[in-house]
Amino acid sequence: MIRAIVLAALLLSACTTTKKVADRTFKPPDRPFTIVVFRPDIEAGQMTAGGLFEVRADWTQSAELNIAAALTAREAKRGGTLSIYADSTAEPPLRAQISEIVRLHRTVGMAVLRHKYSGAELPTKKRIFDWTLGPGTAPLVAATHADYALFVYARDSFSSGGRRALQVLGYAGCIVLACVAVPGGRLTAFASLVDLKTGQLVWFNVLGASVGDMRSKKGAARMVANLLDTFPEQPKPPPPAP
Amino acid sequence: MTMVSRRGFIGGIGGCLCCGGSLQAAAPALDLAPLLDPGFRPADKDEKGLWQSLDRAERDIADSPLRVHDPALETYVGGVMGKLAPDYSGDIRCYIVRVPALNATMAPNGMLLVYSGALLRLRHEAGLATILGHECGHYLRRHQIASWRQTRGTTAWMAFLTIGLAIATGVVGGNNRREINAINNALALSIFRYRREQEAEADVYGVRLMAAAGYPPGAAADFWRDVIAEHDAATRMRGGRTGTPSLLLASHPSDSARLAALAKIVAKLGPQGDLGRAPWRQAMATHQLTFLDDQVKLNDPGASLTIIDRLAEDGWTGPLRYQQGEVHRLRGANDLAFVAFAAAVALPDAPALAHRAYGYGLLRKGQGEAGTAELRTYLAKAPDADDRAMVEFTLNQ
Repeated sequence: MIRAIVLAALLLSACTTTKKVADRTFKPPDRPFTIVVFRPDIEAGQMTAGGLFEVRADWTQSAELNIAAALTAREAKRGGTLSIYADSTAEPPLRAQISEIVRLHRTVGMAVLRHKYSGAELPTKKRIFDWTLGPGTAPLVAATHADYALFVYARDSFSSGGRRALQVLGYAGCIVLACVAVPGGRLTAFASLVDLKTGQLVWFNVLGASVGDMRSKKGAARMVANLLDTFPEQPKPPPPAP
Repeated sequence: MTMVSRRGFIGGIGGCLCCGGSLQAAAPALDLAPLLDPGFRPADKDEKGLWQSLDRAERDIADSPLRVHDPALETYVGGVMGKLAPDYSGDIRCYIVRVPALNATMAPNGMLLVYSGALLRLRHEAGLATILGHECGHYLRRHQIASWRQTRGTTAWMAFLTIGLAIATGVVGGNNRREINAINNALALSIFRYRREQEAEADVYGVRLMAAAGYPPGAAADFWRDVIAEHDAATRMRGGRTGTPSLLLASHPSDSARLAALAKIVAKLGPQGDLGRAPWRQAMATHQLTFLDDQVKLNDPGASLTIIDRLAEDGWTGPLRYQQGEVHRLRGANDLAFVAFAAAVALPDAPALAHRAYGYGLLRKGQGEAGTAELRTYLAKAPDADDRAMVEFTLNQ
């Protein structure tokens, strides 16, 4: 519920917003680094007339596929390697370990949202960014062959027929000078990068937009580009010898 | 118009067993039929989405460290479910989670969570059948999707009314905010009433399944009688604070309303059946004390003492006496704690910790020799104790 409130607060901000928060001491390594994405937490659905979020299985599935493809393509273009961790191929002990990390990150990521983006600033974390998942992530370096884990959370909602009718009714009120603005579907997302060796959250970004559609390949690519616009650069390849 | 995630909403309503509160609802009929066939898979868009979210939640729960990883216990619970709903046993998956609360939840995708706190309070298989039968009622009557649709419809009405009336106010002037609020409150409360009706229906459905599976339906009434007794004791020891939410906002009928409704049905169904004490004791043998320890640490003395007394109806054991002492110690009743620890060490199966507790109690009373003897027994029984150095320090004083 708290998560819904925090997200609702973010939704009320400007149309497309991103704001980077990161560990200032963080420097990406000089060599190309590899990234693994654990279970992207993605849901797409409709906003009902009453403003509730109703998940749609087919939309969610295409959004997941599109975002995974967009993430992989973007990283390949930058000269890095990004793989999407597949639950089905992991042995049960590793799967359980990853489940733990995913759940832990859900809590820590939501804490970052609440305390860095939604005004509820913590006195001890005012000018620092030192959230961590702890040393429990270290064994995953060997298991996943990755330097960093990228966590992606996204909720995309589209106004249902009833919600659109409600919006029309709200605008119709303008005729009699009684306008009521009814918010429609929205995209909200955040991404966070964790150094698997230390468990430290080294980069974090939030996206709130009323445009964009993760259900299409193009929309998902645009969403990923916006969300990761401040993502740590891969090192430039050395210039070719003259 | 705030957006509420459905996952949060699901967490709030799931077909859970107990949340407290009141308001009478008409008793549902005894001849309700299941609303889904074995092997059911959702076809509607909203229900498919709901299942997808729940399948993901289930993946998390399956790997969770909170899950009690005891295949024997899960198989046993699944077996009782199989007796209650033989045609559906392939559709329902039982998970035991280590949470010291009286609760169980059934998700529409067939994921059943039984809390360790619920198992702790039972003394026979028929008690388990009471809980599982109720949850099965939610599943077979497809309550969650119906509840979601009712909420979705009601909140839509609320949205249209609010905006329609706001515009009307703009046209004709005046202030009808009070009327808008009154209508919306009535609609919102209808959501809660709908859920209470579903709970009542699941109670009736569950008892009928119990009777058909050969369990005495009276065990369901006994279950609620025990819940009421425990709640009353907990309230008394907390100094009258019940912790019960407002009657209108309750998601479940009150315990006493449930008991009254069940007593009527039990009278109709008759008393026959086997309680299944022996298989229950065997299934719980390795878990009961762990679950009890979790409960005692909640420091809810009224509830804990009621539970311990009920378990002791089968005979007092060293561990039960020790936990009784712990309950008193945690609430600061040191004399009562001392008596219980004394009783614990006198029993042949006294746990090591009982000797430590009794030993320190004796030292406080100035009985140094007897006290140090108990502490030595503690170290002899638990040679790898974490607090060995501390206890040795006391012994060397």
